[in-house]
Amino acid sequence: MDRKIPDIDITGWHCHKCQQPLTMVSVKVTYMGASFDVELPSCAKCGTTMIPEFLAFGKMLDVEKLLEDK
Amino acid sequence: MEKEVLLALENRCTYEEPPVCQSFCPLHVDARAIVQRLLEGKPAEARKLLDRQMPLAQLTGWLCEGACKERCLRRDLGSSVNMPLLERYVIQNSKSVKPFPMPASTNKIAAIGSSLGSMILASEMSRKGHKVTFYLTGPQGGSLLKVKELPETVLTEAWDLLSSLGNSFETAPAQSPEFLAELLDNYRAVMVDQGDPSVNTQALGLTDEDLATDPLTKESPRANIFLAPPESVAWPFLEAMAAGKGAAISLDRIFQGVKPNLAREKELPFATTLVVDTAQVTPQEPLTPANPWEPSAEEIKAEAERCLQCSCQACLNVCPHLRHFKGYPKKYAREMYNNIITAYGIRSSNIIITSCLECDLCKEVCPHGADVGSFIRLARKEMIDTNHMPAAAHEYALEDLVSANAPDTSFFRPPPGQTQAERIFFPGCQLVASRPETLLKTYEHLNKALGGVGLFSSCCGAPARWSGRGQLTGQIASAIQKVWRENAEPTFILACPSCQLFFAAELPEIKVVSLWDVLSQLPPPAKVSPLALTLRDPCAARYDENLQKNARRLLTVFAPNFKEPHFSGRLAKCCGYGGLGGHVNPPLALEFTQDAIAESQGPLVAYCVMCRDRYRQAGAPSLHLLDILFETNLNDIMERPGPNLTQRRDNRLLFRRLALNAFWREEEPMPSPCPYEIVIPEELWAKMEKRRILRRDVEAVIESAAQTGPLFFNQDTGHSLTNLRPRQVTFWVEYEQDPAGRYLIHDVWCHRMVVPGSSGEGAESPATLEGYARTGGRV
Repeated sequence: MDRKIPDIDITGWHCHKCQQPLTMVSVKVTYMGASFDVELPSCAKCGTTMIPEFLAFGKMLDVEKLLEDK
Repeated sequence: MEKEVLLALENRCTYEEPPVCQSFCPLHVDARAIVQRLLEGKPAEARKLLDRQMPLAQLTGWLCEGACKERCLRRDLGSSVNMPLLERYVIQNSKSVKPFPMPASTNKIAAIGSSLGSMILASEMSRKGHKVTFYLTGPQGGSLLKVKELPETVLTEAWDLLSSLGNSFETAPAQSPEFLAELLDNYRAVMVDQGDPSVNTQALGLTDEDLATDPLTKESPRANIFLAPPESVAWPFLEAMAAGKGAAISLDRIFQGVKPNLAREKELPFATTLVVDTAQVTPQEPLTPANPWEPSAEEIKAEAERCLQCSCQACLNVCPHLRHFKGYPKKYAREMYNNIITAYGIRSSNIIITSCLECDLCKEVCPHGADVGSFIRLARKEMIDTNHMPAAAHEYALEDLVSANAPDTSFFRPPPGQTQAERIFFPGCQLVASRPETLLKTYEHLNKALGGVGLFSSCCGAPARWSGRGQLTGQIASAIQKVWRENAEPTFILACPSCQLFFAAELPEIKVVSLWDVLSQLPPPAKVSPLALTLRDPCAARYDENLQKNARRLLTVFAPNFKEPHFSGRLAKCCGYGGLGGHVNPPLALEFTQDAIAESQGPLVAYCVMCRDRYRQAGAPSLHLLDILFETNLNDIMERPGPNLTQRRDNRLLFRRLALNAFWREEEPMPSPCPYEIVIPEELWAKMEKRRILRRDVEAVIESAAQTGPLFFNQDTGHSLTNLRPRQVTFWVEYEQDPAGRYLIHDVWCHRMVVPGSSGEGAESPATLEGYARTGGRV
């Protein structure tokens, strides 16, 4: 997965617990033993990450399929 | 997987075998490919092919007698394709590339005579650096000089080419045994060109025995003598070319110390195993070219278009899967095999293995019975055994199976008021999911008419078998067997063709009978319907003639106005559900559904409920056979879509409660509803269906959010967003709460990757029924 995912619209989204606006943060995502550092909208304070719909059924799904076929 | 399994399938698929024109040609000219290049308007490309198989094509292209015309499949459909005409056009409209000179060898060959056989030998040998000395016994050219249409310049140019390659010419002294002996002393080999009328084999001392040519190596029984055939053979020029070419191969082998006759059988004309279906071909007469020795481009195009481009399309014609992956069984099997044995790297053919519907129509239409389905089944099992089956492939289908067999859904009851069943009605999980009310009527009818019929609602295990999971399959089969033994081994009445296949394969000890067989012998439960229907057999009934017959027997009585399409019975097409392909590759499965209904007119009737529901989903009004027998409002039912995934689960829960209450007076409430009012807009259901997200998944996320609060909120839209990872999937729900406290769902999605805040890895996909049961199979 590319390190940067372009055009993620996070306008208006805040972490409910920390009441912080989401920012693009490099986070570690894992699947089937493989890890990647990706910039995703996250809460800068608690680190909870949001996966928007277009990502879940776009790039993320492609990578999931690739790893499942490994 | 043993390599023999691969070879067995590869050997049965003859897609790569040559067309009959090529196999019968003494030179094995690839006529089909040459025609293809001509149709593409590329005579230069056609020339390259011709040069490869026909030495000295600039000359021989004029001389081919067209042996292929004897076997051409066009022969009885307007007359054979005129390959000699096409070849002449190719050589008249292209140039051959002059061969690259090879370093000269010390091997010298002599030819007595100078007709086509020795010319081809010289052409082939000199390309490899060996030189031929022609001993002229008469006019140079031998029998070629008799072909009056052959332009003189063509022959002269051929001789010039041979000279330029280092071949030489001598005038032969009087032909005698001594002359032959002298040549044999001075040369590695001698070709006696009997195609030259001036060659006198008797004078050379060659007996009839000496002239008995080895058909493969073109050798005489006498050492170091090779023979080109006399003019009296069936195809004087073609056979002379084959002799020159064959002798050159023999000599080259001898020079390299290899046996000249090893594995050369396919150099002779042979019977191809390629089978071509010409049933739909319209006869088409050829045009007569104004000048057959110089045909025009238009005349050539017209003739080339008559070529059938012979190939075996039997399985490709009927299988969207084979067409989609652009394969044929032989190519396919190799790809899948390589995929299975890959130690490291991407298994890019997983999707080919998991998308197959295992319907076996390809095997049925294959002229050689190539069995792709069995190969796929083995491949899937191997993927499971080596832990290489993608987890996502069959996960939903297996969860659905576990849900259908969960204690609050599945049940067995002996006949009301009895402790043991004489027969057990086993409708199957999908019929229960789609037709709970109709099944209540069916069971009531059966029990009233027969008595002693128990009811067993469960999944037979077919999805586990389709997915290649042997252990899970065995566990489910054992559970069914246990009920059977506890009831003194009664006959099972099966309503689902896939259940019938499963029982035959996994529970052969249980005697089964189809519901249609039983119903056809009972008093009629229904009135005759006047509807004009098209019957569609399910692929699961392909080899079950009895099942097909009994379904027809009922239809003949209750909806006699029905038709059968061409793809019926053994040729039944899969609706797209088989082999779990619909879960793995929904767009491809939809192609199957559309393909199956394409040839049907009017409303359809099926006796597999998944067929019925998929046909309706693809837009065709459809009925299930049970609808005709037990329902009255058929015009409404045929338009009614099948239940969605959530409704299927709910219907199974409902069937248990309705049946237990109606026949055994047992009260059992439906599972507790979600304590929150959740509103899912109509347009979101299609998305959820596609993503295999159930209402209960959404409910679980909302219940979690209601207790702990959402993860995110959007200050601009007022929406909240939260997730839950109950197993290896994270579900996201975007929603808002209205003033009445209702949860209005705006969007739902899911993914399998783990991100911070998505509750860890989630439960691994378990491999056993207990494992699935432990994680719920539901949220």
